Amino acid sequence: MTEGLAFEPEDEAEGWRVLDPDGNVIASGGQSVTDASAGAGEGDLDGRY
Amino acid sequence: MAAIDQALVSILLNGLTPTGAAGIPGTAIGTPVGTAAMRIRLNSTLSTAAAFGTELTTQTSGYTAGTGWVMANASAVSSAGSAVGVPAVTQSFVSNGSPTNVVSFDLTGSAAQRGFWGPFNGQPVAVASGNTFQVTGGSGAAAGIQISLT
Repeated sequence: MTEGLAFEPEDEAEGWRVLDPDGNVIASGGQSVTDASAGAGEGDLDGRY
Repeated sequence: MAAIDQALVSILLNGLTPTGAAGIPGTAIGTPVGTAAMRIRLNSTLSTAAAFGTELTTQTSGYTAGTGWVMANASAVSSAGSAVGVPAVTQSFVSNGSPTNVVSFDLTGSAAQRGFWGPFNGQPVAVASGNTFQVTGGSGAAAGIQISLT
């Protein structure tokens, strides 16, 4: 982990979404990065760990 | 192992994130990230501790390369070490890509001063042409990106 920096997990938060032109949510995920190091702390496409 | 006082955590966070009026940084530690509204830069490759990722090109609407998403509203200030949530207001763009891949973000000063960054959960997020990519805005923990110091 990069010392002193972190992005806190948000268990239920929906951090990002992709919407189709009709406004329907077709993908989403939590912005739940727990480590500023590249690639660490990523969850699955549902944003869960 | 060294540790950090939680009050100092809040001072640092408030000086490095858009907690001032109209999305400008706080000034308690000087102005290392400028004195104008902060921005979120979106990248199609991973940012690293040393460098930005490759910025998205200008999209159909909602995202201009070189400008990014401008934080027009203040984030709730950190208190007693709490995280700062960004953006305060939901930000989005309509893709012109085939698809546009969103991989990482950088929270920057108005003159592209680097600060906090991170990969999006589930990256690369493929946003087909005509679809919208959106990051949830809100106060504190309701915002889509939570920035903290530990």
